[in-house]
Amino acid sequence: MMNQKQNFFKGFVKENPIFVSVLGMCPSLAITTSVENAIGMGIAVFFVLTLSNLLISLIMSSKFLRELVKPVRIPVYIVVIASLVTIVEMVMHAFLIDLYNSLGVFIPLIVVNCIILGRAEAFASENKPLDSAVDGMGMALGYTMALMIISFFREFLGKGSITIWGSLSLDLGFIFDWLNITPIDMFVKPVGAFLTLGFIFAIIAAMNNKKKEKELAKEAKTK
Amino acid sequence: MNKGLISGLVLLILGLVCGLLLATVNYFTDPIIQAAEEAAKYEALNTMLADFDTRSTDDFDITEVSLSGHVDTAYWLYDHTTNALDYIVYSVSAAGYQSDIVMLIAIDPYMIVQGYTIVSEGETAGVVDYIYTIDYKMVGRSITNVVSLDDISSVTTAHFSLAAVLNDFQYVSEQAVIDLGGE
Repeated sequence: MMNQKQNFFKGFVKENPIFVSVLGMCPSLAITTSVENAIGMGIAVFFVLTLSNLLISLIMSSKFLRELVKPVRIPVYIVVIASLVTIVEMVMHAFLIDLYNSLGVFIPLIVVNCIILGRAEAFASENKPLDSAVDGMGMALGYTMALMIISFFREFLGKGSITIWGSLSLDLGFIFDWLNITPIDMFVKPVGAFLTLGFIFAIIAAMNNKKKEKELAKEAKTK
Repeated sequence: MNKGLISGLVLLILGLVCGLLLATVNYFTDPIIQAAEEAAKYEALNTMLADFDTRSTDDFDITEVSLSGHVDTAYWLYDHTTNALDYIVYSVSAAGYQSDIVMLIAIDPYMIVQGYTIVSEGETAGVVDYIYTIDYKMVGRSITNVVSLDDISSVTTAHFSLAAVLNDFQYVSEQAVIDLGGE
């Protein structure tokens, strides 16, 4: 049985939606052209995932509602998730217009993001509301962290700068000046997304292999 | 009671609750969105005017006409003093690769394009930069004679986005013929 801390942090590394479960890849590849986009998408997913997990868990934890909803649970999940995504979309359109334009079609597409529906079916429908909300928060933060890592490399290598939020940005062009090269434009294009993700997966695989080797060596020693 | 009917009722009630919630949020956000879009259009209008006229929107009497379809608004700009029609600026949108490309296109009463600007788009970052730098060869040309994609670019990058910009010109061409006559 997991405690609340483990439940929260499992989405960061152990069950990271992008790097471990490889879910929600389409928006992850498309919107990671800047760190600002990654943060914006992360905020949207945080709101949707936390509330959808909470609401679905509230519905499913009542015996009476569970029996009513069970035959149509997937359409019910979709209605709840779609409503939350539409609220995020409207609020973003009203108050964060640049980010709204930048994320484009990928905001409404959160509705069909496998992470949200996956957590609803696999976790929220079987667990208590508080646990589900904590799981949603952890998973969303793990997702945001993964998006930020990908976008950091893509923006840095592709543009030579890091846009954090609005006009707040870091100009790292001096590194390229020092190396006497220009930023590699390819990294902010779709091909750059696949390359970056491939390199990150390779690093994670290498780290896991190293860890396994160490564990095996430790086991051999104890034997 | 029939199980299918119960399931239908559950979905209906949930749909109604969600619909009510969305209507409430929309009630608060819609006026803000409308106002922001209007302000952005006027700002874009002034930026575009600066390319071919020394005057700003304050120097004109502007009649705003709401239209339907791709061309959603026409701004008829009359000179303050002479009351003569100087320009018609159309707000138009066309579907690009993953978003609508919204433009303002200004023509004079003789249907000659005086200027244009891209107001908003949500295309793929990095790839879309190309549509801002390319010369569409439309300024000084009749709006009824829109260039083809082959006339302006041999590059395949941002093909859908470029085609959307040219479609914007085409939609304005059709509306201008209705407004000003001609073929």
